[in-house]
Amino acid sequence: MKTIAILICKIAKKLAQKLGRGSSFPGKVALKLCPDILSRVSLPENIIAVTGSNGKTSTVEMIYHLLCNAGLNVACNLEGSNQIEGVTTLILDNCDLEGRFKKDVLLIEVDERYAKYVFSYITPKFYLINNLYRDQMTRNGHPEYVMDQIRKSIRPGSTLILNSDDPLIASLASLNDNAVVFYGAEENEYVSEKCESIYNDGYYCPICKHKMIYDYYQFAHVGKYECTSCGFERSDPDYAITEIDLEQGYMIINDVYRIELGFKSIINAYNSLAAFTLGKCMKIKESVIVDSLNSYLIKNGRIQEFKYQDIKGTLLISKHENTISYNQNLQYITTYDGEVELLLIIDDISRKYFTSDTSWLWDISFELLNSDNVRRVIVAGKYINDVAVRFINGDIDMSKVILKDNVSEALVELSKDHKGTLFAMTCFSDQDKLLKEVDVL
Amino acid sequence: MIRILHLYPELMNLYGDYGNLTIIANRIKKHGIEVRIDKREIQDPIIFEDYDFVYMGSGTEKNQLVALNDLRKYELYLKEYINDNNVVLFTGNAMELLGNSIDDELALGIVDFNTRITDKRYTGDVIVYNETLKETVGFINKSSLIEGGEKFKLFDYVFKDNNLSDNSYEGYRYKNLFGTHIIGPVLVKNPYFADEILKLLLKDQYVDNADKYEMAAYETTLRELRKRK
Repeated sequence: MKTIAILICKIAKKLAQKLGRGSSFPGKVALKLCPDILSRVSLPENIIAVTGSNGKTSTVEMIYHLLCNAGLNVACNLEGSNQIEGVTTLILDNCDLEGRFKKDVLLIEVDERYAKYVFSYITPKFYLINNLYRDQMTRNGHPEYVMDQIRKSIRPGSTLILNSDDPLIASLASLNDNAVVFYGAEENEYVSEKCESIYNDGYYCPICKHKMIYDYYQFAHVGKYECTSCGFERSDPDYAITEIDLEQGYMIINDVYRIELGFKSIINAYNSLAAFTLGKCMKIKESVIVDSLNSYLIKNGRIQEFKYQDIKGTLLISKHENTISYNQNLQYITTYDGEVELLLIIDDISRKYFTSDTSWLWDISFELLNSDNVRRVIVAGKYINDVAVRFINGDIDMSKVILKDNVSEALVELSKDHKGTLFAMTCFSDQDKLLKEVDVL
Repeated sequence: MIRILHLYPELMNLYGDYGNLTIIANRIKKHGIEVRIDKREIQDPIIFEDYDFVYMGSGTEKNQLVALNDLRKYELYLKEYINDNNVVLFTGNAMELLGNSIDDELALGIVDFNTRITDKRYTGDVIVYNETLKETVGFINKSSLIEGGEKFKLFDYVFKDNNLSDNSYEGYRYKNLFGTHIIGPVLVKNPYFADEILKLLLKDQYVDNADKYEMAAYETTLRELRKRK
């Protein structure tokens, strides 16, 4: 049955590719035919898994790039699905009919909620867990729930690679007996004394639920923390950002290794640091890791230049229901050097999930829009009134806010009196509503 | 001056719940009446009788029990406060604290129902109905099932996603205590619900002052959800 399942998976994969279909279906068929197929194939020693809320894909892309540069043969679900079916497709497609894996390394991005199913058959050698944020809570419940799901996916024998600065992630080290490698950022000129987001997911200790105190915050609840009761505290990272310059766009790891940052933000610096750490764990030469990270061109799927009439604009894809992603873009726009106008589209209130839940709007730091450099905010979409209520109750100056039911009306309004630099923000689920009205550059 | 107590805003704040108090405070201010919101975390002293309105929002399943253990110290005072017709609103899984038990933990025993924590999460949009509060819209996101307390029911379901399978009714009302599993800024989404809270707080000083956006936002959601009935 094993051989048949592998064969059918391979054929289905070829067919799916021809038909332009996703990568889940072949694995799904194979799992139907042989539910424990993943325990019947012989896998390589080097299995690497990456999970967490934000930045999984960029981190996996960087790791893939550096492993390939080190001369390794890597199978990875870069394009494919990150749930059990997609991972099954990836594995079987890289096996021969006897079930022997043909590459040196299996590198998997795993959905944070479904990792426990994937790893009931496979034990990763290195398991990188990068962060846990409030993300798509209509589907995910809340970060602590997701953490419990991730915990169930941790098998004895895996070395955990954890972000020391995210307490929820770091607590996994205390709650499991696995070997741990930590990465994090040291204090720098960008840290703040207070938590700057609307909520603080590090206010209480994830282990004993007493109050935590922070020396500083890097962003949101990520920083240097210590529980006032049980002694849980940020561990010293094995690999640390010891210097970072976001104006010039570089960071230095462990006082020595200089990495250029494609995106000049601390959040992206953490992703590069995670890839660096994984490279070190895989015993790749430092020079190869550094060269790889520096030569790696981030595929910029999150930024799109466009033109409407003679107005040029930049679309920053901002995940709905994900405070960190959304706030990062608001921060960028409201600290931009020069006058800006913002077109904000909130039509599908949720990504992927059909709901009318607007509660996430209250977690977003829209108050940043009170910055003097913001000339006008034009809001378009089905949920403009919810946004207006959020703005009014966030004391946002409504004299610079314009509400329009749809994107085309919003663009007409915008063009009447446009000044400064134009930015647009919306989720990938809504981006086509803008892109079909403008010239994509 | 209206004094509001926000219970455990850092512990029980999963779904933008603080928005409920922002909107109530702003609508009170529009009456020309002063308002103060005090926040109390775990181990802070709580004196209910200093307040006109007490609110608690949603938390994780672990945080819910932490809140329960802290609040238990004030159980008798809270019961007395509620029995004296004071206005209290618990939303999301804060509502579960009002029942007799959460799994094996004794809860506050203010309303006669029991909660069982489940592995499965129950999530989905709802429209519920109460004669005074009218059609109320929102989202439920919980890991629990509720049993009992039907005679204190607050709402009947008009629409719910398939995933929400438990009772035919939603939420509880006992005197001026309101409990609902609906998460997040319920009073922002539902101007009629906010009106009722304001009427109870402001009595004959109350005037209807929901702005046009609040009403329009409510109608948008109601229209979207009715399409799915």
